[in-house]
Amino acid sequence: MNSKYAFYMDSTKCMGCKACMIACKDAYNLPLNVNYRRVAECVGGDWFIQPDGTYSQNVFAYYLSVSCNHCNDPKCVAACPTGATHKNENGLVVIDASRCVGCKNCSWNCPYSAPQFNEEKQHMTKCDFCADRLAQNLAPVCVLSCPARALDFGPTEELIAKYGRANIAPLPPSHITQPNLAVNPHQNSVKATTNTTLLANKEEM
Amino acid sequence: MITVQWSLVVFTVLIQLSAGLALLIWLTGLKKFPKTEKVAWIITFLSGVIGFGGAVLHLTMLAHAPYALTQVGHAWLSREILGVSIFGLLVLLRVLNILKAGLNPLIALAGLGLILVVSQVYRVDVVPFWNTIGTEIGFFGTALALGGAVLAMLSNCNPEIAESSTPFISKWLCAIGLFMSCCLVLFGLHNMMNTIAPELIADTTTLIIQLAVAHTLIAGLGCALLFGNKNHTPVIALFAFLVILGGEVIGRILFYLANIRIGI
Amino acid sequence: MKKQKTDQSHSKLTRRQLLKLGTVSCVAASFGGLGLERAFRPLPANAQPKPLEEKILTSACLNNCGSSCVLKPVVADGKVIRIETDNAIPDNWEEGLFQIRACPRGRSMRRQMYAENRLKKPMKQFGKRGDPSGFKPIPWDQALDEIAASLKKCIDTYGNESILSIYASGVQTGMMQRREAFYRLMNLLGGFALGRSDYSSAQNQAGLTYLYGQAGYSGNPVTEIANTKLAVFFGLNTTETRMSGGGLQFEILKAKQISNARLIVIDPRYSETCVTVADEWIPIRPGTDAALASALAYVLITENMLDNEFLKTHVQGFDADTMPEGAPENSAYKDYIMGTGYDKIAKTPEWAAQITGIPVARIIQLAREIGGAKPCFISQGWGLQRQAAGEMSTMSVAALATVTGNVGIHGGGNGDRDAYYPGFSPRLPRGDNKVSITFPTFLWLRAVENGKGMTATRDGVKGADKYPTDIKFIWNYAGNTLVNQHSDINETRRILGDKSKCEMIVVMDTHDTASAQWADILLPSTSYLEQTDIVGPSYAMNIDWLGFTTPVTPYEQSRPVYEVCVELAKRLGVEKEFTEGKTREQWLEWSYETQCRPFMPELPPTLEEARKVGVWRKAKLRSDLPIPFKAFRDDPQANPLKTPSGKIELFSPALLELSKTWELNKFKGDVIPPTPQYVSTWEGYEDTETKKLFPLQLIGHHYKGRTHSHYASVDWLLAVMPQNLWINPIDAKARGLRHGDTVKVLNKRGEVHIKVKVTKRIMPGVVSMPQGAWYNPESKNLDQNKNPIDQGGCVNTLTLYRASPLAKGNPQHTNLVEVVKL
Ligand SMILES: Nc1nc2c(c(=O)[nH]1)N[C@H]1C(S)=C(S)[C@@H](COP(=O)(O)OP(=O)(O)OC[C@H]3O[C@@H](n4cnc5c(=O)[nH]c(N)nc54)[C@H](O)[C@@H]3O)O[C@H]1N2
Ligand SMILES: Nc1nc2c(c(=O)[nH]1)N[C@H]1C(S)=C(S)[C@@H](COP(=O)(O)OP(=O)(O)OC[C@H]3O[C@@H](n4cnc5c(=O)[nH]c(N)nc54)[C@H](O)[C@@H]3O)O[C@H]1N2
Ligand code: SF4
Ligand code: SF4
Ligand code: SF4
Ligand code: SF4
Ligand code: SF4
Ligand SMILES: [Mo]
Repeated sequence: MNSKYAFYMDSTKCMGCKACMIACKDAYNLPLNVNYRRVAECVGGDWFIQPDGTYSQNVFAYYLSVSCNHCNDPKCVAACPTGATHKNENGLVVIDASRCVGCKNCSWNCPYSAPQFNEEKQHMTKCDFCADRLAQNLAPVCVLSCPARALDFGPTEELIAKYGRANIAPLPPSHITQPNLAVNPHQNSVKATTNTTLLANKEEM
Repeated sequence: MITVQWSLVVFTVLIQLSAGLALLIWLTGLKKFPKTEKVAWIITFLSGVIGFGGAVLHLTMLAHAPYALTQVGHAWLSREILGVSIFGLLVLLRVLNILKAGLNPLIALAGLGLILVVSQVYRVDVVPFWNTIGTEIGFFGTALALGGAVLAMLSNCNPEIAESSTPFISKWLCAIGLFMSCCLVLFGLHNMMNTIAPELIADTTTLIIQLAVAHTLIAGLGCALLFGNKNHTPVIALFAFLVILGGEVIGRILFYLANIRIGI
Repeated sequence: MKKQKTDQSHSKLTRRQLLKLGTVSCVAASFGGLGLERAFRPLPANAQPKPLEEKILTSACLNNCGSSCVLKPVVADGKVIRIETDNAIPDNWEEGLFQIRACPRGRSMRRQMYAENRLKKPMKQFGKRGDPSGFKPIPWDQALDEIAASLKKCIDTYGNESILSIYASGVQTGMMQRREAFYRLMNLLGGFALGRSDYSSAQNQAGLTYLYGQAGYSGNPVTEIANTKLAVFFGLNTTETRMSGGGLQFEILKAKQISNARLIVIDPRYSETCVTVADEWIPIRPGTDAALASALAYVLITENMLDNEFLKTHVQGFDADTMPEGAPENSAYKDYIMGTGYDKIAKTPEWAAQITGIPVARIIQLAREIGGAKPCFISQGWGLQRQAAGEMSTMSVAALATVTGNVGIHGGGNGDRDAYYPGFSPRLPRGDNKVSITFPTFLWLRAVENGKGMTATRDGVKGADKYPTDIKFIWNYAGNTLVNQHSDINETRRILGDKSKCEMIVVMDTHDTASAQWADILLPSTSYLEQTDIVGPSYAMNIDWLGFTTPVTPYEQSRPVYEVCVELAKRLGVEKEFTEGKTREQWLEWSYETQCRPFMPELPPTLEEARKVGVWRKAKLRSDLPIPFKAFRDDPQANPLKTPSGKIELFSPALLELSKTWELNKFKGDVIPPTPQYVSTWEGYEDTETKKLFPLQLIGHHYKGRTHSHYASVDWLLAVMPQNLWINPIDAKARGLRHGDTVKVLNKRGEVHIKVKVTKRIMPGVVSMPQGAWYNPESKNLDQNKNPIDQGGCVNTLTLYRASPLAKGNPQHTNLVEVVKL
């Protein structure tokens, strides 16, 4: 079943503050190297030194905040040998820790780095769209954290119809997994290809 | 920092050795020399067991391992585990002589199937280096190379066999296997560099090329030792096998190192 | 308090009843396969620990980022287990009612509160001052006795002028936890020294006092971007420095949406403001805004795009016609610009291009854009004034707003940073300070070394010709300017290390900071979340709200500052006057009755009831925010400015006078011109002599990962917002550097080891080491001056302790360094 919900990310507003990352980390007590949500800093353009010693440039930057996209074609699910990673009754892709063997195959197959291994718990973990909050009629923690109001979520069809599936560099082309992530693209944003070099902060993700 | 996936290197290399040896036992008609065949099957089995042990080490929640057989419907990893189990069982039955030599082709084909299944685990859409026909070629190559090297070594220990065609076939299949195995990197690099911008992978690419050169040189050395061993000296044959094994391990380290996904 | 479900879900899509789910469980779900799963499921099925009883409290993040955000600590078993923020109302920006969402720093509060480096007990330095191993715990009573005795001795021996409450901005709102408690105590004891102005905008305040008769914060509110055609931000990085979800970053997004005005950012870095709201970035060399502004004025003048009418009626000293009586010839603003002044250099775009690094064509085009946009919202941050001649940068930029007649109109502005309008934030009454002699904040360390030698004409002492004493006692509550945030740490360590100078340093902080290590007595402070208080908006918020906070259990032996001051008052014989017989709770009730309820009549009768809701707000229409200088604009005669002439003074006789009477130094740039103009300074772009060894200009921008040094040691934040040196790929390549390499950054004053962020987001020739990182001297390796090498990436290891000419302010963005691969 396809996910009932999609994330919405307004890249035109995102300031790369990472409140969403930290709020999620705090809410779920994540270890230092596990981030269910990650903020990509994308930088492009070039510098040109003029003959008179002045500079011109066409440098640009934008941010994308990405968690698990609860994809319609989730490569993680296809790859998981135990069924630990699976789609639940809302079509959300969640991990059943009681089945996970820790083979990390899901993380090899996800082009969004969403599944991350928790060394303390010794099993794979991932954004579950704050499933237990959804069940209580509460919006996800990250959505409510964003100081710029750049994050939201909603019914998949509506959001995807309006914005399409996120297909912006340095994300992978959306046809691979059919992510349920709708992005209002930043004015500077560049279309997704597999080989963009825009990602400037890999070490921070 | 580079972290080497030792457990997976051990697993895939030894499982391939195992499957390769099963194949060569059949292809060289080793059943004519039952003693050596027995030793060969034992090696096949032990190698498989150690390899499987490596795979198990890779997991963190062994108690959940049985679930890993539940997704054979769609997950190649489930199929791999099933495949290893079936192949392992067949080899064990052969070692125990419950299966007779006439079924050697069956076991060999199961081994071939297993290699194919293992390679499919790495046909990951988002890892360009892995997602090429090179992975199948390389994995079959490793199987032939190591199976060949082991058998060449065994046949050198038995003067009877030394006279037969077995060492000849083993040597040549080993050489062909080494060639295939060394080719893997060409497919991988080609696909990776066409898919991911060179500046993103510059460091890794350099390292891959260095390791690939080492892999190739060592494979060459292994071949030279193998083919140069005109007197069928077992120690040299053993040495050749170890060199070739070392080369394949380097090749596999390289392979896992190239686990660079597209996306973020 | 029980969590209200719908309270939490105010995103617009959620309101559409889209969540009609049954139980969502990550555990269950039977999936495909061979039906084997039941056989293997471990028993008992994934037992969950019994959830603890959760309570949601109201609190706030009160640090000095210019906002304060609502924090909602979720407490279980006496400990904070997670932090939520304000989602209680739907956003209604137009009416000034919107969520005060915390930034990542506030969200990481739990991690900071329970960190290893949190102070646990009072400590005393038994070894040499500054020796981290010399501290031993002492009882609270002993600490308080010793502090009281030292205070008394210093007051008696050296006078109240010798007691310094050092600049410390760690607690910005909160009636009972702000710095007023100590002020109140000292004022009851005869007063104390409190530096004038601050580290934020000293040059801006000083310069604009002469130009506009008002010390800073005098631009149009950012909401006016909704009414403008073009906004030009000179070194204004609101997105990063005003990051609160209830603050300016959010307001600018909204305002810009309305006008869709073009927005240009002029900054050496492609700041976060460029990312979110800029249509164009113009990189500029640090310290050269005055050159750009002068060339813009040149084009505006030559292309006749001035507001001549306004210049005649509202401005003194634009040209010869509006010069005051007795002013020297050819010294009007226009003379300086056109090259008819003393330097005989026309401030052409060609001239400015060489200094600023901005192409000639772009300067001309920018001038035309500014001249052609009616109105134009010109604004500036404080980065450009935290420079050696920052007063001139700030005045020159503001002058552009004057010559184009944008002052005092909707959608325009006077070129200063935005004015702010928080209605009310309660404070403890501090009483009157009888010490009337003051010196500029930044010069506190001079006052420690040789306060008696400080004069009015050299050091900006006010209220007397000389300062009467050296500083002998330092009270440092919630501040890190003692070491980390002050210029030239190695110099600071040298002076503080001499105990014959300052006799007692008391540091009261939550964490073991660089300053804490230089204390004689170190007091553990409760954090924001650990005390009851009434909090409200800080200095950069334009909304009206009050928060009635409820505390969690204080950490270890930490105490609130008010209670500490009560104890000191007891020991110094002023307890009754200090407390007025009130307990802490009674003070809060007093404020509630006399201050809060009159300000916000809808508040319930009792504080107790107000606490049940936590946060209370009052609507304030965005369109009603006042336009500064509007009255002056409309009728300059009836509403003169506070300048001597009552007009905007593009030529200031007062400054001319100062330049003659003040003792200025020989070094390049220590001058006080009477008109806004470009001054070439020490360690500026044109300091070719120093650049031979140290060719890169170094700034230290205010960084999203922390507020100054506050939150700087939180591992969650450091992992995703690490401390790096920003460097352009061109400069990196020239030094063989790649992203992530470790380098040494050095100049004559010190050496820092740090990783580089190779990024196109900073211009060539400039590097930035974001300010506020924790100074971390590694004692084994020493630099060329035998000082420890800083491994923490604190930019103040490299800054020069040298005051700006007029404000005697901190020029901490003016530095030259070299970067070498390690
Ligand atoms: N090089 C360079 N230096 C600069 C600047 C620059 O741009 N460049 N900027 C300058 C500016 S503008 C400023 S305002 C100053 C700021 O300098 P400071 O006013 O020193 O501000 P912080 O570094 O944030 O220090 C606040 C301290 O308060 C402590 N604190 C936090 N909460 C509490 C509490 O509840 N109780 C107590 N007792 N303590 C608490 C924190 O642990 C921290 O040590 O730095 C200046 N320094
Ligand atoms: N996240 C965060 N927010 C903060 C603070 C913090 O530490 N962290 N500190 C708070 C405090 S107390 C203050 S005073 C304010 C500080 O606010 P500001 O002083 O405005 O902040 P800075 O980062 O020093 O400078 C703003 C911008 O000016 C640029 N800049 C530096 N030099 C020049 C120059 O010569 N010309 C031009 N055109 N631009 C220049 C910098 O690159 C930076 O992007 O921020 C407040 N907000
Ligand atoms: S983002 Fe990755 S982990 Fe999440 S559903 Fe898609 S493929 Fe799976
Ligand atoms: S790590 Fe766990 S969740 Fe991921 S593929 Fe393996 S078993 Fe499935
Ligand atoms: S939806 Fe929940 S789990 Fe997923 S990233 Fe957001 S806060 Fe984290
Ligand atoms: S909290 Fe919002 S603005 Fe900040 S990084 Fe996340 S999405 Fe972007
Ligand atoms: S640091 Fe400033 S913006 Fe961030 S939570 Fe605290 S008050 Fe709000
Ligand atoms: Mo500041």
